[in-house]
Amino acid sequence: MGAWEITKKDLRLIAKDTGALYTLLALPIVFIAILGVSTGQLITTHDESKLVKVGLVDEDGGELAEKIFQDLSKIGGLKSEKVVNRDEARLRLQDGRSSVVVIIGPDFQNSTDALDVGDLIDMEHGKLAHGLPAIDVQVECGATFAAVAELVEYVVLAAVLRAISPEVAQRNKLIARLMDRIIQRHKQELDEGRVGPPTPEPVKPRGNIIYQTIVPNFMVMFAFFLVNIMANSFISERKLGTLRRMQVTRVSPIQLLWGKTLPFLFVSIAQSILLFLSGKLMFGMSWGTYPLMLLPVILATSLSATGLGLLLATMVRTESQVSSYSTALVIILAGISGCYMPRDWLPELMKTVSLGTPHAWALIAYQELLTHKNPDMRTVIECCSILAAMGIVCFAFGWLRFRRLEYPV
Amino acid sequence: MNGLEVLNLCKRYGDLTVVDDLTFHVQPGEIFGLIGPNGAGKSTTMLMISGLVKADGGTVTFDGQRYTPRDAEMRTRLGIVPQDIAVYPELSAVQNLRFFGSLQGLRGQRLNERVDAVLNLTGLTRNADHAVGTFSGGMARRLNFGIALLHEPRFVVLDEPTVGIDPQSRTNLLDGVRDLSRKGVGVLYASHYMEEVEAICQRVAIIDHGRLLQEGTLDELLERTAFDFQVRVAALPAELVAKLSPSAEVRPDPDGSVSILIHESVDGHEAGRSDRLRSVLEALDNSRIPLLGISKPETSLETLFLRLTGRTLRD
Repeated sequence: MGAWEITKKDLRLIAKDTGALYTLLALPIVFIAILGVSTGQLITTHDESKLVKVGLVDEDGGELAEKIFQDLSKIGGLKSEKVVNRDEARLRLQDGRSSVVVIIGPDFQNSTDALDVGDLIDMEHGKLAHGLPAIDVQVECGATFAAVAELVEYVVLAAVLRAISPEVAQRNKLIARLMDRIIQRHKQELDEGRVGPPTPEPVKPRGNIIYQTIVPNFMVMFAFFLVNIMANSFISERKLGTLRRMQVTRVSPIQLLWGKTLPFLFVSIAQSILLFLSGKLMFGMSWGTYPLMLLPVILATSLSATGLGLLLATMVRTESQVSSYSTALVIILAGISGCYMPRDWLPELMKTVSLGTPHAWALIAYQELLTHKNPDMRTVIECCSILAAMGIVCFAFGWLRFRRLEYPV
Repeated sequence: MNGLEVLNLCKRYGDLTVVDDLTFHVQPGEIFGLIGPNGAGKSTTMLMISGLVKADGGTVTFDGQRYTPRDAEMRTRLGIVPQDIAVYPELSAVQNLRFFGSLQGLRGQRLNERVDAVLNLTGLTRNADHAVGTFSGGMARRLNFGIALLHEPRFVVLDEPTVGIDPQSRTNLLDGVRDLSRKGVGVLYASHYMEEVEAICQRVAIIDHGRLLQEGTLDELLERTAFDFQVRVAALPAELVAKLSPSAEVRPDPDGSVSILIHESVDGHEAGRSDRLRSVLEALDNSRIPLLGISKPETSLETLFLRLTGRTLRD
């Protein structure tokens, strides 16, 4: 009962502390909004700015060339545009308006006319052994994609083959008959209703991918800002003398400690839920395939944050110590764990080191739930267990220190 | 034994002994004053009695039972009024009282009654819903006092409860302390203010450097200083000051003259008061120093306090 009275009192004090509320609730939203806008190009694949811009120069002007253009336009992540000539295309490469330029030369139709089925099947020894230049198609990459030029060329080659293969195959009578028969059979099965055209699977909106990363990252980082506010609450109680005043009441030490910890656990949970709500309503993020599974991750993250907060609160004696230790702790742990950027960008060594921080486990769990269509629940449960264990260990050490310092008798 | 008994209490921080074998007893309904200069060990003694600081030796008993701070029932026998104003400035007076009352196990109607009673006692009923941060020093001190009384403890420990407050608040607070005494509550009252201690305390202990210097009723203490003599001269040469110092206290007066005080007893000088007076007068006569007067100055608790603890400034 005593613990609950202390919890209610602290919640009342936190509600009156506009500075703390701003740090815990408003600041993360502001951060997310600013970083979402400023770094969106780095992370998103949804945003037009991140699409691979393909400039296509059609010097051939034939139907096949047009078909290649259409096929390239259908590939996700590419944005195809027609460019009038090579000079213009190279200019676009230089100034970044195009990332890749595909030039279909004037000899393209003639070159494809010369191909036979064997060239498509045995690409190592046939006319296509030298790749696209054999059919007068050139691919040029700008600085951004220079490192993956070969990969880009393969993508273009695939689009070209898809366009020219049916026409080349028709030139062989045997294959042409076989293809006609297959097409007839598919048509018949379709008419009899035995096989329907594939029903497109309802695609869940993936949301704005950048916020799938930024919202949990900054949510985790700001969850640990609680450490600062929690430690300051203890310092303030000591300074006012109210901690001693509580100690001489009927409240037991463990009730007192629970009472001082629970409000921050509640605040942390509320903070996380509010940030997810803001993420959805303001930034259009998705809560993933299993939104309810976010709750145990939120709870486990909050547990570890409050546990760490309690430990720090029992280790510091002055407000300046709180300020310096907690800020360093929050910023360094957030940096190590990958809160400032997608964890995938971290070097392997850093990824391993980061597993010593609670932040990293929270991020892994959120990443699993928010960015994977079929999240691995074992990973999520493992992360939650480790976070909870970290919280309990911190709480236990905090409890021991609290007993030793505040209850010497 | 009924009451609060402190027996051979000791506290050391490294080589520094803060409380040294301190013993006293506060009876139910008695107001016991604990006075001493800064650093005398008053607050440490209060904290040890509260169980907030571990004693290196000695015991504290309530009504014959050894005080064990871990025992919640035992803790409720004691009400603590800390030296600092230990309340939440963001909360109202009534919120502070309800919070600390609930921590003392008060609920429902009983809690409401006690909160109202304390608000009434401390004269804060009209400001009950105002944030404590907006209170004057006196109002905050009264609330600080009232919180300790919520659960109707059998003993109340007050550590300099009237620092920096106006006469009205002081009077209200002292009336509250007297009221406690009338209800049979034992009060341990630590203060720097001699007039307060003289006004409300039945017995007084003077401590310095953690040691008990004098203890008794006010009359007993004043009796011990009643026979001091004061010899006044216009001036006194340094060699004569040195000669007289072992048997008398020499101090300058505000008007430029010098007083030679012959106390009842002086540490290390066992000669009788009359013998010492005679030797002082002989010394003055031999040096041909004219007397301005001989008198027996009015004694007070402050006189005794200064005599026992000295005039050296304390940090």
